[in-house]
Amino acid sequence: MTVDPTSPPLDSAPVFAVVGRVNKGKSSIIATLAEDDSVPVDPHPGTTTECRVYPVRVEGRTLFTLVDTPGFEQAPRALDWLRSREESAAARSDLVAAFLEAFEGTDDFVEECRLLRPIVDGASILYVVDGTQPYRPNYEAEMEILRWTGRAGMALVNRIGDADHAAAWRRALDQYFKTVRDFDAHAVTFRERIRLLETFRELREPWRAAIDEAIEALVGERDRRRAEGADVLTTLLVDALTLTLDVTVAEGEEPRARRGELEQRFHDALRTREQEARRAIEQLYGHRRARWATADLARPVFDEDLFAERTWEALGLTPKQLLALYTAAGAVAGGAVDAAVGGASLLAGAAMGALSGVGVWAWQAGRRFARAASLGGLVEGMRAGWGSGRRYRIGPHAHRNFPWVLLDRALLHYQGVLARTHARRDAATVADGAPGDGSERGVVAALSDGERRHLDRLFTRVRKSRPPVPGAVESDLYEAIATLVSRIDGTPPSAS
Amino acid sequence: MGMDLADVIDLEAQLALDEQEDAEALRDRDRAIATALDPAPADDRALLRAWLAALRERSGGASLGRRVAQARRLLGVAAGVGGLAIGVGTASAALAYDGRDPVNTMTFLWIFVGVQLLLLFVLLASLLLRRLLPGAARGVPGVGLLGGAVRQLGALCVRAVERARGRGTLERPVEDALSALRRIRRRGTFYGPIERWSLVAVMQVFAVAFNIGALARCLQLVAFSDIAFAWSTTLTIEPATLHGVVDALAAPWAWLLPDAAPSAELVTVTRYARIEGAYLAASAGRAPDPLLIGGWWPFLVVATAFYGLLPRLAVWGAARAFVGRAVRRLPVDTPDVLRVLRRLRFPRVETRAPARLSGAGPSGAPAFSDADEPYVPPPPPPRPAEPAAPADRCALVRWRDTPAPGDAVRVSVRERLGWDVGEVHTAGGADYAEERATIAALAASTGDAVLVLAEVFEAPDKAMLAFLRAVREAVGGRRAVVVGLVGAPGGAAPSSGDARLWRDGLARLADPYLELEVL
Repeated sequence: MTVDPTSPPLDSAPVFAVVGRVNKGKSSIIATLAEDDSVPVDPHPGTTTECRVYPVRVEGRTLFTLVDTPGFEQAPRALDWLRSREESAAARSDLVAAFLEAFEGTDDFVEECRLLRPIVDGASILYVVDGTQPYRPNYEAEMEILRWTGRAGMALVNRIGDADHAAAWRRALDQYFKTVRDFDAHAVTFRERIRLLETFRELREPWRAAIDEAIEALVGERDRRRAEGADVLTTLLVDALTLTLDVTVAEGEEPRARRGELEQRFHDALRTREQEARRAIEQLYGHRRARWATADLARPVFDEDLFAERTWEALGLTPKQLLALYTAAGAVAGGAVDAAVGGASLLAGAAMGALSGVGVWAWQAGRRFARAASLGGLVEGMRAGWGSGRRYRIGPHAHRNFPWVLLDRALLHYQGVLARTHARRDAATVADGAPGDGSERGVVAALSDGERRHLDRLFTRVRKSRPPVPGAVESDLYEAIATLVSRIDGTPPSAS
Repeated sequence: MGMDLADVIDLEAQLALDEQEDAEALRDRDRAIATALDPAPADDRALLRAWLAALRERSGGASLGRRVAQARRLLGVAAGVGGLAIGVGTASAALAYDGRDPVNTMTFLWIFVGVQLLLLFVLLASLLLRRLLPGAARGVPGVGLLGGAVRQLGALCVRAVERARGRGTLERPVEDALSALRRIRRRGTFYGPIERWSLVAVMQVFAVAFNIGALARCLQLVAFSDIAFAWSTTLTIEPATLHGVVDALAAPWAWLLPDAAPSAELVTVTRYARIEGAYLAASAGRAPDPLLIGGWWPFLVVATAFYGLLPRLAVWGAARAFVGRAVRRLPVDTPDVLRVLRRLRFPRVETRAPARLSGAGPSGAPAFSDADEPYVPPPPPPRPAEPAAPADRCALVRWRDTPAPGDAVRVSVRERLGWDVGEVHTAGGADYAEERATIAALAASTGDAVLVLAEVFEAPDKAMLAFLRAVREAVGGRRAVVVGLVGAPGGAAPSSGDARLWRDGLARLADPYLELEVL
């Protein structure tokens, strides 16, 4: 076996060799634990033909290593070879080493040699079986060989699928491994991953400190990602709410004739920002290859365009919630008039303001988004232009529900990214992260009245700011978004 | 240790520079800095200060913040020198005496006490107004105009800079400084108090120096020349009234410095009329008492010190304290600063595979595609040159503990393949000896086809292929060998995808008489 010089030596940190029969989910478990969606996961047998190391490194220092191995393919024959040479139980591990010596570099037992090598070199064993398939006694050949290596090990019952044969598996595995854990590589949460790592500590006492340090680092990394995620969403909202597009219309040309094209350009710019934010979130969580589209979405709006009519019907605030915000804003404005006249108006200002808020709501709610936005104020700020044309400024987007729709879509996407493990190779859906309550609306409609009012005030402050948005406003918005992201994430932040 | 103004400016300048940099490169840079700071300060401001110090060390030379701090000091010195000179000049003018008309103390008091108190009042009132009614100052006529002019000037500068940048003629330090300035304007909510109080502090340096200059000149003139003081006014003010005013002005120090509180007699005898060219209380235009009329100077000096110098010193100290406090309290929780802190606080955690453990395999193995390459199905097996040997019975091999065939499977075999199930063997189990025995039994049999019953969740792996190869060798070239795929007990029947996966696997044997049947 040739060892890549860039790979860390196996004896420097805990090493866990993930072994098992072909196509039982070893690579899926590796992909999930290592958060690496580049791990080849394929239904064709023999996808993993070589060992691959997945070190968990902090500042370049390896704390532990997972080794993805080719699957057992000829375990009964290998065991037959071992048994035929067995002299005593005490010499079994030496016999496994002799097996490697005999067959490494030959065409025989290629997979067995490759998967046993890291174990013979000191790795602990993570034996993976598929708990959705029935237990069969022939697996005992593999387990017996692993027992002969004399290395500590644990078994993982991979449960990707509906059928459940875990109980039968456990009864068999308990006889060969001191620890047996269930693990669904497609649906495991971060907390469950950490719990699995905590189990690793039990395999070998001297490795405990390294695993503890790795757990701490991974939890810290989760905190960092959450903060970065909130940062990305804040930037998206600030950019989208202050986006303007300057265009020049030639003299004599009727601006209304170009309205559709200009509107399209403006919306495309917003779409681009949303897409960039999504890619940034996916990159942040190590989803470099995930596809995020499917026709079979529990909430179709996730895959719809930002400005599709259905999106606006299903996401953002409900008409009732919007009405409440409009009314409250109008009442506050009217209340200022009351205050200015020392209350002599007997709160008539607040009442009139609230009524005008209702009016604005009715005006905006009764129109389709695209037209409402374009007619209502997308083209503004006319001024005598330079050269031969007139200059127009399009934007920023005026609809009150716009930031809510944008935020809702961003949070749903974030939720989907969080819920998606790196073992999955199918297209992602928002249902991955949905609460499963069948709700037709997104996340923001479920916010409390206080949270909605607070966010609405922040959106208004952002909109009123001429770019660049003041740091204090951005800071307040970041704090509010970070709260929402933490709630979606659910994992408590680390003590540090 | 907190941050100072130079740190704050450097922070903004660095954040402006970092906006253009790749996120990964920034993380590498800042992780290297954080690693060197072992242990990293727990306080965020202290950590940022250490980070800035490390960046300064890397870049070498004076940082923008240091340069601005230096410029600020120079501005302070210039204000001081200017104030000193103007103070000396003003005192010289106010105390100019050529032996004819005496120095009018009313003028001196107006310049060095009245005007200064008025300016101080305006300053304090504007600061108070801003604090109580933010934004109200902009509504004051003149202030709004001034602010607008300053903004327009800023906009003109920005446009000029953009043009210079377009031409590529802008010096990098200037560009960096302007980027930092833009960021500071953006964070105006935070930097407003710092800018305001810094400006106030510089103004007070000027005022303090002005008063010191005036006092020094005053004392010099008093010491090295004789000055006749008087008071004169067009207004109808009786000496008793004026004495009441100066007495009130001198009240704060009269108990300590009685000579610095003009007496009623002094006030009375030093009333002067320029039209007469004489003190009104004197005879023949001569001063009633040359020693007495010089007695105004202690009052004037102490009044200037008390009402001019001391308040300015107090405001200067307060402004410096406010600047320091504003800098210390500068929020470090804005998204861009938090980005830096995250890079410094959170270690780089990597879990992805950097390299393969093992290199190329031995010749001939593995037969499957390389891990990173897309799966390529093998070519279909060759078509048989002649039909398989006819059979009406088959030997059945239960592969890897496949349950014994029930009636349903036997009926299916009969219907699909036209075979009755004869002997039943096992292979692929934990005991390899069984497989050897099965091969031997099949080799001994004659005429029967071979049906290998496999469950769908198993894979056509090397063991299966090796077994089928051994079976072919055992039974000869034209005997039909069929792999019968069955579903798991209680599970779904094999899908077309399962069948395709198995066919692809079996095709690697290139056996024209080997087939797959879904049972």
